[in-house]
Amino acid sequence: MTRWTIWRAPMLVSLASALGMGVALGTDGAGDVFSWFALSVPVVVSLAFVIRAYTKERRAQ
Amino acid sequence: MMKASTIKGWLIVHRWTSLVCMAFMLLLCVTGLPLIFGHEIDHALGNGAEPAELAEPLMHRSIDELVSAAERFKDGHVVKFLVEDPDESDVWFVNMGPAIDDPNTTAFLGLDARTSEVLSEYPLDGGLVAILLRLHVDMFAGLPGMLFLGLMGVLLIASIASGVVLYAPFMRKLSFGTIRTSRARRTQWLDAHNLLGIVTTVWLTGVALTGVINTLSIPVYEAWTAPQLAEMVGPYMDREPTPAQTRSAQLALEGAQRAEPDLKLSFMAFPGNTFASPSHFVAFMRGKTAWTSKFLKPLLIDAQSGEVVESRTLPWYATALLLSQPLHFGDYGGMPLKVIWGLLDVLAVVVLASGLYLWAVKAPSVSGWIERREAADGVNDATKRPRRGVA
Repeated sequence: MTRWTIWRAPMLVSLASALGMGVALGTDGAGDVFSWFALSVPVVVSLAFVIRAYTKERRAQ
Repeated sequence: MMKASTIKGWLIVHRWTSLVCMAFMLLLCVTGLPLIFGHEIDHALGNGAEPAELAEPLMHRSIDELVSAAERFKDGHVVKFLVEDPDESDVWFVNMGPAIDDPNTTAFLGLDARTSEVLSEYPLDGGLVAILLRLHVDMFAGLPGMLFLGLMGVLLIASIASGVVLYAPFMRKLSFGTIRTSRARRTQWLDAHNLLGIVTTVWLTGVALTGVINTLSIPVYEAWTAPQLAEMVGPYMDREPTPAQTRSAQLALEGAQRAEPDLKLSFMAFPGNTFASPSHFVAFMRGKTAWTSKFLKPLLIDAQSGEVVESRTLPWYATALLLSQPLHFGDYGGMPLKVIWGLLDVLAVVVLASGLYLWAVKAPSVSGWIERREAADGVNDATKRPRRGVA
């Protein structure tokens, strides 16, 4: 793993989180909707990788 | 590439900063989760002020009538602050105390603006949300409790920072999000801890940082009110207090609206209050847009004529505090944002608890792992080949 491959995904998730937290602060309506999607990224990524890891294991058995 | 001894040092920092704040951070996450929905819980428990549907729309009564109604309802107590309901234009709240300059709040009433009927009395001591809030804010220990939790928040930030430093060496052979499900349980939790920890980094750092700023709210308000409000009300402090019968909150509110038509009231301190002068109201006005509504502008208003005498803009540290509040509570983007805030809070609990587990169930040999790395690093040095692509 290079530094780039290690940090690529965390940086994207961090960027989405920061935009999600920031944008809704200064806007209403569309900005709020954008924030819901952007700040969902860390939640969705967590669930997706955990679920993938454990369903893959079951399939392998 | 990080040296093994450097990694060992960061592991010690990560372990101890986390362990010291762990119990408090779990308390904050557990009490914080329902507090995200505190407003909804209060309404569900019947502590919200719900104005009745009237057959015919009625004009709003004068604010002074509402104040009198509140003081009749709570005999012997006086209104210290008038607070506007951001969601419901037919409701006003009043904050009351045993005396106008008494810092204690003895009642928080919601009144119907059309009938001056008392709709709600907030259970200041006994309410579920109030208890959770005290546990979350100061653990019932006042300012020392707040500042202590602030210090614990600083440790959490140090723990997050050291965790980020450690992320790269732990992930050197793993692709993002890998959970080695075929390995020992501890290894699986380590992988989950690393994944959840790194994806919640920005959110948790933001919430921790704004939480720390919020723990400074009392000193910040003092630093702000002492010089600035004192400067604004100072010239009037030795005036005779305006008798309650001749002052008018209604005129003051109208004067504030005339002077600042683009702003609306957030709350108004009554004459004699520590936030006002003996002969003036101080109205704290806020903007009407998503962004400007976060900031307050104090107006000094003559208690009898309702004329705005002076105004100030907030110092930067009060602005930082006001911006930190929504960023900590997650209450600035509707219900979906609150739900996401809650889910992230749950993820933070998993990160904390798994960290505690990883410490309690010692690695078969952390030192062994480091020794192996040291050996590997030595091989690399000898062959001058980077270990890229090994995984």
